Amino acid sequence: MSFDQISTIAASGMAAQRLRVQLIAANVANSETTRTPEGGPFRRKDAAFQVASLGKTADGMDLTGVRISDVIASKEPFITKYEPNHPDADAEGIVQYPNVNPVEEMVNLTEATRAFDANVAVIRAVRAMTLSAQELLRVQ
Amino acid sequence: MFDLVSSNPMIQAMDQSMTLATRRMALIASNMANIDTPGYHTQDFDFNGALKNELAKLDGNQMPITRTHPRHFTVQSEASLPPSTDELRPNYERNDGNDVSLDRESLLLARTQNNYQLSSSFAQLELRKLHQMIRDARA
Repeated sequence: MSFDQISTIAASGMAAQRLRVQLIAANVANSETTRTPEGGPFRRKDAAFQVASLGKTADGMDLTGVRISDVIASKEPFITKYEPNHPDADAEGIVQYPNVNPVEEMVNLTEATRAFDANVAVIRAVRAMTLSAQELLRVQ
Repeated sequence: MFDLVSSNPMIQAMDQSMTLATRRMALIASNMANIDTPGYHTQDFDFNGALKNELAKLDGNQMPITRTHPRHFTVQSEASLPPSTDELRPNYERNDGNDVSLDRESLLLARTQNNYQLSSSFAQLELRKLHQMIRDARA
């Protein structure tokens, strides 16, 4: 068992949360996007987390990290607005806007930040433990 | 031959305590990394119970056993960590089947770090004592 392996677990958590923040940023930035390469307005995206095995320690204990298994596009209905002059309006003058709820995104952002901080706290604790183990070398 | 350092009961005990603290740290890291994973359950073991078991093993046998051949059995039985009996163990699940509590993990993170540093300090004290003895004998 090494401190390195513990840091790897925390790093996997940080990477997953960072990707989640990246998706939230894309959602917020595209909250008014009515045109996408796939056609139709932008769909809200979210990350699905999954347990990831990071191998075993030297003494046979499983190391469980985390990874993003999938990026899910939301199936919630789009927001519709009556804007007949909009280039993407249909025959009746209705424009479909992305199904992004800014409040929901902010809540998710806070949650992702907290979870990221929790992983940083682990790395900080591991660092302190490494330093106190190094102190053992100082006998004088 | 009696080894002054590795047969020292204090150092042996602190060694076990530090090993177990590191192991618990890995579980806390897993719990924190999986705080948003649907269906994940908190992993933990009974630290005090595990330490008591290890210390009981030390009491019966002060001489360290070493493996001199790769096909010898290993001395430690690492798989047998006692299950958690912690009163802080979360007893509720969120809607996604995850029961990790950030408060509990933060508390255990701090506590485990303290355990480790305390054990490390005690081991260092013991080493300093030995060093002092050797120096005094030489003088």
